[in-house]
Amino acid sequence: MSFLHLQGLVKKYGDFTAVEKMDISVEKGEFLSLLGPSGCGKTTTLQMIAGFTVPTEGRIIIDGKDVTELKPNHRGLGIVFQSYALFPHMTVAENVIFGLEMRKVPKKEARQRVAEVLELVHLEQFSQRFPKELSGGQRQRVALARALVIKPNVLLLDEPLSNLDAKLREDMQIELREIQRTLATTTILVTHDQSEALAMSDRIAVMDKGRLVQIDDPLNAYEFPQSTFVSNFLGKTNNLEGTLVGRSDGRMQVRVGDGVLDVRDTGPSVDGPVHLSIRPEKLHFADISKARITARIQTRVFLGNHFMFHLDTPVGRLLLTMENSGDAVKGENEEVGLTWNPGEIRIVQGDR
Amino acid sequence: MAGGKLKGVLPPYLLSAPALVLYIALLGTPMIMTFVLSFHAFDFNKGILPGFGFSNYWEVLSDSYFHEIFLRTFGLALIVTVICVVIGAPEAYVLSRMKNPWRSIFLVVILGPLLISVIVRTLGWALLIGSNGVVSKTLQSMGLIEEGFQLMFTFSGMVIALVHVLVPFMVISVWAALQKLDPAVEHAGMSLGASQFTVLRRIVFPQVMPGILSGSMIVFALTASAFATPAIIGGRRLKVVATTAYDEFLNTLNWPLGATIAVLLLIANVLIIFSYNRLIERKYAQVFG
Amino acid sequence: MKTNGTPALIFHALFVAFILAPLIVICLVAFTDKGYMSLPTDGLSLRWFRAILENQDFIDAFWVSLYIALGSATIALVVSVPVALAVVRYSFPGREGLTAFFLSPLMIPHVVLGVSFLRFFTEIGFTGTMIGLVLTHVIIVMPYALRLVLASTAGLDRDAEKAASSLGATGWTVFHRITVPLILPGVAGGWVLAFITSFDELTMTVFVASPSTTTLPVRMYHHIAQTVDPLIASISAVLIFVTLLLMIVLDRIYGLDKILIGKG
Repeated sequence: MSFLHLQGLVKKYGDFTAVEKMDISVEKGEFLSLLGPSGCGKTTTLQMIAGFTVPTEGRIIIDGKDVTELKPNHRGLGIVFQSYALFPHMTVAENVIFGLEMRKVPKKEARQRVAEVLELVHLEQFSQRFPKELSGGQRQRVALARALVIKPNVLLLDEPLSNLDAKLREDMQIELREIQRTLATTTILVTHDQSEALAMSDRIAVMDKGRLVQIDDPLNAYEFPQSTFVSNFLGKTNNLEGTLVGRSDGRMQVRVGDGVLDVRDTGPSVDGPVHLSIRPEKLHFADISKARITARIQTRVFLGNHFMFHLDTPVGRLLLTMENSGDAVKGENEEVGLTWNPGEIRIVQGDR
Repeated sequence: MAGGKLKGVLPPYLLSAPALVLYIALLGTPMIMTFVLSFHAFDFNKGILPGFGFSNYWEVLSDSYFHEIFLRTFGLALIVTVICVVIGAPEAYVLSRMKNPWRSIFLVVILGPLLISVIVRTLGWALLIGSNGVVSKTLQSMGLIEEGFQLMFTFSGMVIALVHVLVPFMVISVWAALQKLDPAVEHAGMSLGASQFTVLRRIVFPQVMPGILSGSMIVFALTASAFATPAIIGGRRLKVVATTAYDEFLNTLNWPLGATIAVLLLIANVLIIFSYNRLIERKYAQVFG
Repeated sequence: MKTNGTPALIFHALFVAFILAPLIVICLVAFTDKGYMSLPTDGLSLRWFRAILENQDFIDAFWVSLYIALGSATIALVVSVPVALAVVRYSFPGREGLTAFFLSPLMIPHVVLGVSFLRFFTEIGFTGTMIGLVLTHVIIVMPYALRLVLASTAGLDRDAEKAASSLGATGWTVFHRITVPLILPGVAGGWVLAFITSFDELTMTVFVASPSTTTLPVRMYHHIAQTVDPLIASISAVLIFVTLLLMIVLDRIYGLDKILIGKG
């Protein structure tokens, strides 16, 4: 029995369809990310769950109760806004206690709960400060504390980390994840940052042009993308397009450019071009004699913990990443051999 | 400061020199002369007397005739300000929740009259509320009232016309404060369980308070020194400070007394503005900065 | 979610009606064919618009107002631009005080200014001259002009000037090829706002205008003090119409909302 249920959710603005037939079930305590580029409908979906936008069709069910028609102030959700939306005229403590006042929680208990939640987000020292007097990261924590203190049945996070700098963002990802695990609050994160979604979620729902295109746990979504869009959006990838030239014994031969690739047949019926995807870290250098294909290194980019190579190959341009292990590294313009495990080449759906 | 500022004392003062000369000659000198004038005594036969003294100030501060005028003026300013807050602040909020193009259109409709001469706008009210005015005529023809009524030459008439003249300033101030409001705070309040009314009272209102205060200051100061509207709508009997100064200068020709009234009006104005600034600094610097 | 409910829209409609009512009434009365104030119930007539042309007093006053507004707005802008550059570009002792001084006429009631100018011109024997009137108007309109020029100067991207210098432009070339075009919309907006403010000014001018330098608002005030007739309504209707045209011009060159916010 799932806890949060989106049933055939549709949002139309005139002729424009912002969200198309969304069906998602979220388990109690689960951390789900809605991931996609801007304009994919993820924010609209969140706004509908929160009650700030009325769906054109479909139902929203939380804990067995249909809340589609419920006003936002009666849904009992905790929301962390992208801008944090702190009340600038109230201190940290006043911000956090606001939701409890609305619930008419007795003063004493309310103060106790505020103290607890501020401790949880490490802001005990700052309860009497105004938002203006806090750093970006601290404001973020206040926003989180304010959403958590009401013990929401669902926590909605709307791009909560996008206003933080890169270093702080990584720290907060881990912290947010830990807090979510501790409280086991059902959580929906809206983000356009794939690494954020991969790092934090139990499952990722990838959206594109108002549609849900894949919903999977992070590892599966990354390893087995179902479309070129998902493989491109989650991490870096090499997308190849070819034609089927042979198919037998669970293997497919696909002609790409001047080469033929051997691919594990995952069983799709094929008419027209075949779309393949292989992650850059799954390609390896090899002796030319033992290699599947030969390539020439066009550019080499050093990125600290790893190198990135752009390669000219018979099947087109390929991207290869290699850990910086301290060993000697091939240079630009060198002829190299390439190999890979054929099972790592995925057959995906092309873009519509 | 991005780009950094240039150092040097001479260049900026050279750049400001033309304006500075103009201001000292045409603002500084006349103001000082008026201040000095207010300490001269006056005799209806001999004109301005050479001696200095506080006789004019004493006259204004002790005469109940002037008390009434000052009380009327500041009472008028207070009532006009309160009404402007009560109708202008909600209107600014309604405007801020409109979608374009309506928002831009109505912003121009409401603020545009600021560019139309005060005398024209006052005339409009004279036409509306006079005894032969449109309001009176319409109500009569509808049979709602028996006899024509008249708000011309009444305190209420002055209030209505001045609210009309000055309420755009309130809308501007509150509007500017609303623009600084993070649109998500209202959603945040609701998500925490607050009703629409609670959101307005506890989240929106406190944040636009600086705008309401600055609008109030502008409206109060401008009402207290208004001339054209009280002169036309209030007429001879309902004198205010500005019309009294005018009469002393151009009718009774008691210039020192007129100057005294002007100086007192200026002092009152400056006091209001400074105490407002103090209030804002003390109360809001920490919160809004 | 963030939309206005019906009560809010009703309130809004009443508010707009309140704002527009006196202006509409003026425009209606201006078209009456009667000899007294009334709504044009028996058809529109241009009688009172033709009457304006026969009133030389008002025509003269219009020209006086026009000259004063043109002169004072231009002088105010010419002295405002260097002030804005000094205040925005330099850090120097007295910078804050100087800015406050130049904006101070906003705080002074026009009645007080009128009283002071009258006293001043009487003492130096300069009463009722055109030049005197123009200069007093400069004091009144300069704060409005300065505020808009300050805003556009402060918003200027200094890197564009640095880029021009790095490409070999001299100081003067940078000023007239880069700086001036960039602040021009603000300057032009400031000029029009100054023009309108001067053209509309009554309270100060009523003290210093002589019979030969009576401006249109002063003439209208004296007329209304005597009698309220359809003639004054037709003149007002023309003023409303001209202001509307100016508002459209302002909107084109600088954005009307920015200027109106500056007026507050």
